[in-house]
Amino acid sequence: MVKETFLTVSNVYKAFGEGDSRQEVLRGMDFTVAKGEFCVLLGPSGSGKSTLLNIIGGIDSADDGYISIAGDKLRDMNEKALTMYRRKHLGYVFQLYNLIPNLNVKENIEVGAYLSDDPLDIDELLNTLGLWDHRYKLPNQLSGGQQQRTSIGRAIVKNPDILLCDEPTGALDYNTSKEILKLIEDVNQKYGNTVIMVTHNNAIQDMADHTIKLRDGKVRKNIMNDNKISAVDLDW
Amino acid sequence: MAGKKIRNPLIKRLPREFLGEWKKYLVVFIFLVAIIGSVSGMYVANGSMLQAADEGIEKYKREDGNFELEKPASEELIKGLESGKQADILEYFKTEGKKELDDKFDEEFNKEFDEAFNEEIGKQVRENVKDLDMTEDQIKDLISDSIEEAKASEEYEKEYKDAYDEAYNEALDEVSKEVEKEYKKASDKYELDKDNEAVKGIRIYENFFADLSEGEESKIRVFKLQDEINTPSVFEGTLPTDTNSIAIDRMHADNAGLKIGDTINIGGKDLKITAFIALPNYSTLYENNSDTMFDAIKFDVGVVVPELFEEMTNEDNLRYSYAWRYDTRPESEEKENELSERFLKVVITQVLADDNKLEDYLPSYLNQAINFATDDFSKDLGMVGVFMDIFMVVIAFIFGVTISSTIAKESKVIGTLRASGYTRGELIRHYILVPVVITLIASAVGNILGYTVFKDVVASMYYNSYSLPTFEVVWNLTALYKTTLIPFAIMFFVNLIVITYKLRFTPLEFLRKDLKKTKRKNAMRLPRWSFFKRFRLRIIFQNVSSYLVMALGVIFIMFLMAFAIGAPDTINKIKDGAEGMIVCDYQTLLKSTTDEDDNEIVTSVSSEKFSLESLRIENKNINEDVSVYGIADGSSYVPMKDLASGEVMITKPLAQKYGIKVGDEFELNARFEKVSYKFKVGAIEDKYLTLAVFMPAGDFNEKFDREENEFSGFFSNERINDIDDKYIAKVITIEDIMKTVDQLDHSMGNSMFYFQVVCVILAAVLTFLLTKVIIDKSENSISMVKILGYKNSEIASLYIVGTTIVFILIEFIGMALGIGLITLAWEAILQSMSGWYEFYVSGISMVKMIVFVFIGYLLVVLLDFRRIKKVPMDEALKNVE
Repeated sequence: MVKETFLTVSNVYKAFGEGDSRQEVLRGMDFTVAKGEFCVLLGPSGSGKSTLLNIIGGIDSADDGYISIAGDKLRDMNEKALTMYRRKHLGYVFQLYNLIPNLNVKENIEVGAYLSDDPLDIDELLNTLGLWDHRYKLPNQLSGGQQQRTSIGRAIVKNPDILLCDEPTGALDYNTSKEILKLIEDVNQKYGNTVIMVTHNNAIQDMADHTIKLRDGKVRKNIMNDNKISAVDLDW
Repeated sequence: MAGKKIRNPLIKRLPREFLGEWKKYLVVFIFLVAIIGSVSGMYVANGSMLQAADEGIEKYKREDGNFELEKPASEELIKGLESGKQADILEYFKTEGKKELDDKFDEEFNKEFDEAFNEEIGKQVRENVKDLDMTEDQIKDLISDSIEEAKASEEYEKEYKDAYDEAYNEALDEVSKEVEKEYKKASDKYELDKDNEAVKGIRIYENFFADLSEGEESKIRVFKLQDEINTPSVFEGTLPTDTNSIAIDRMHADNAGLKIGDTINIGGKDLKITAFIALPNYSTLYENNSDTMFDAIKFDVGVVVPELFEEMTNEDNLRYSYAWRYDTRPESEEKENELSERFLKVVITQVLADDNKLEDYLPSYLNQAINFATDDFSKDLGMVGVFMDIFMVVIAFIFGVTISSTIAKESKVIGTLRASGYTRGELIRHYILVPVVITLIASAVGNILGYTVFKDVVASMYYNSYSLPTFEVVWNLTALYKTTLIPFAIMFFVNLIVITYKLRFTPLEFLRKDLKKTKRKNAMRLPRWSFFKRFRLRIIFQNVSSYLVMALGVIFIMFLMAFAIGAPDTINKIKDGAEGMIVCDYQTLLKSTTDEDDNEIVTSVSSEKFSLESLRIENKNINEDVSVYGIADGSSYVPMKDLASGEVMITKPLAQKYGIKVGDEFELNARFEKVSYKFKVGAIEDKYLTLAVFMPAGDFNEKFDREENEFSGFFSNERINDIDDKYIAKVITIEDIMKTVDQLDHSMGNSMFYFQVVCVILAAVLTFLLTKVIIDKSENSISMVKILGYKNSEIASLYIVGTTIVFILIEFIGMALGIGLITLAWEAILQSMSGWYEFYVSGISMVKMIVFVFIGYLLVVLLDFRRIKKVPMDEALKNVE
């Protein structure tokens, strides 16, 4: 069955700096992602994966080309519309969690829930995230994995169409990383969100539906994975 | 399962933010409450007192003005005045002229006619007998007989009548011409030709008084107890009912330490104090309206029963003062001004027509004794309001700096929130909440305290200076506006601007902590100084915004400090140098320069004659008196500088207040008449304290149309005792000049010391809040240098020395600006008062200003050192990115 295209990245160019210091980061990037897909953007440092993620997330813009989500082109949106786009459709997970230090776990998740007219049930989500017992703890009382779980909770509580994850395991140890990946996998399966994850960890492509390998600002490989494995079976 | 829409969870940060930084917020809160409470108290108390004063106009039948006459007014005069109509003084002059002519004409005519008639008869007789041999005696007898015979004839009678009629008509013509000339002069002076609409509905009340001695040092103005005008408001005790009692002013009693039941000597008679009162026309104890400052220490007012008043007064000490009241009070000061100008013409003409003399005329809106206190309320409110606004701006900027630092610290969180879909507006609302909530709670608490506690503190402050009637608290809308809306608006808009500016970055820039718009690639190059010096310089550059706010605060504190230290300095300078700032110890002004036998009044006391005219200078705020002196040639009291013909010497205060320079020409006006005099300045004399003009006596007499040898009184350094009191109008002594300074000194008292302490505390609070921002911002670096092995003392020297250097620099700049600003403010205040005193801050006081504010800073430095010591080493490790 052909899946419905949800995200289109079309001939996207992006450069930073001017004159001699100008550096082209994205050089005509093209691919599509289907709704509900778990897509991994894989590549070494400097390959442009985070820049691309930021452009998809509407917090950076392309110099040329466009991104469209469910048919809406981001380049046609002004700042206000982009904010609304992020509010309604996106959830962000970062490598360093970026939690609000003086709000507890539950409240940090509520920060995300507030943005949605129809958020997920927070208590249920806390159970899903394995944070029920820690719900009243402040971020500095949590381990890195728990903090990242919280940040995932904050991102998905509004049940976004797309979950953007920027190196979500980059600061975590092996076991915790796997736990987090499993969680993202579960979320993807349970809520059906499209997940786009930036990573330089090759092993993670095995759990994705779709892997896009980047190098020097270009798509080098666009692989659909029909034999994906569960995050718990990953090894690196 | 979907959950329900929830409220913004960011709001839950608020209590934790307050608890986490409770010391900082508590300090700010206490200060806000203190200042809002004080200002609210001030508005409430002043508003209530103003209302009480307004109600007092009717309740205590306060006068609408008063005038003083040389002698008691006749019934006709009172009737004329109450008619509100200008007297026809041309008719008066004519009648008077004719009366005078009639009085003198017959005698003078008869004498002249007789002499001419007798001479003519004599001539004729001598002609007829010149050839006869008659002795001189025989001729004289014959002349005498002939005169008698001629006078008996009908022809003589006719001739006499014709001559009489002709001479009388001629004299009457002369008188008419003279009258018209005089009238023209008076008419020009008082603008009598202009239509003067009658002043309707005016009542005149006798309000005689006498200035008597009270105890050894004070003076009391005693009035007759009455219930028609200026009735007393009783604070304590009961009004006198017998001839051994007196009720005196509450304020003066406080100052003099007098109690109900005490006996005081008034004008040589011992009287028992039965009540403390406030008279509505003396809410501020001004002895003379031209005084620079009131005097509640050595000047008092009191009331006694009419019998005692008669007993204590005589024609030498009695002042014939009359008060007036309008049936319908004018609605505005402008209308009151217009009405009193019209009534002045009525008074001048009626008094003239009644052969009396107007000594003084003072409508209530110009009367400092009535208006000073209420004017002072408004001025104080204005000043305090401005102080509070500046204070709020400083606090708002402190919040701004703190929030800026928080935004920088939470950059990644903000980036995440913005990336997640939070709008900039939502985040602005979130960050603005802290200052706004604190301000609103502080406003609420401050206002509650203002209405309950502070209003009494403020009221007692005013009751310490003024004799005001009792008051009841009234709801004050301005207080709400000034102490809630304005602080809220200042806090809101300052922080809105700061936060909006700080949140202008994109989500990505926040996520990358890329919050500098300068995009400077390299750090600023610094000279090849030692590492420590360069490190400190970097800290300073990194915290420029905090230092700018600190500079704003320090300038504000120095402004207050300059007043707290400079005001006593100014007073002390005047007190210490007062002896040298006056013309002489005693200026004895005479009522008349000749005695009853028309002999010139002289004294055996070593003295010098002088002439004096009190004129007014144009000032948009007040009518200010300037004394113009005629000085004897070679005067030993006022050595005149070299002046060209027609030039005058003026005092420095007059020159400074009105910006008059040598070579300038300026104008002074007569007090009541529409006459002005021009003076050309030839010299400015530095040493005198008052506003005065000195000119040679000859020039003076010519200018003021006086007799060649006319004078007004004597300068002397000893009291003149050999002139009868009845000829003395007034003796001006050094105490009269010093009473302003004494009253200022008394009013300020210890409050200046407390004011200085407040400034030190303010400096400490300001430093505390801002250095906290600097240290919080640098926590990572502090932690890192600790890991590297720097000792706490070294770290403190890096972070504290830099700030200390900047603080000291700011202190000096702040002091210069503070003194400059307070001097301007002082001069602006004095422009609306009589007199002029140059603001002065001594060198030692400048050092004090620096040291006192630095003490506040030092207190905080100790706390800062503790803060630096408490920064944990893992801080840097935790926040590695």
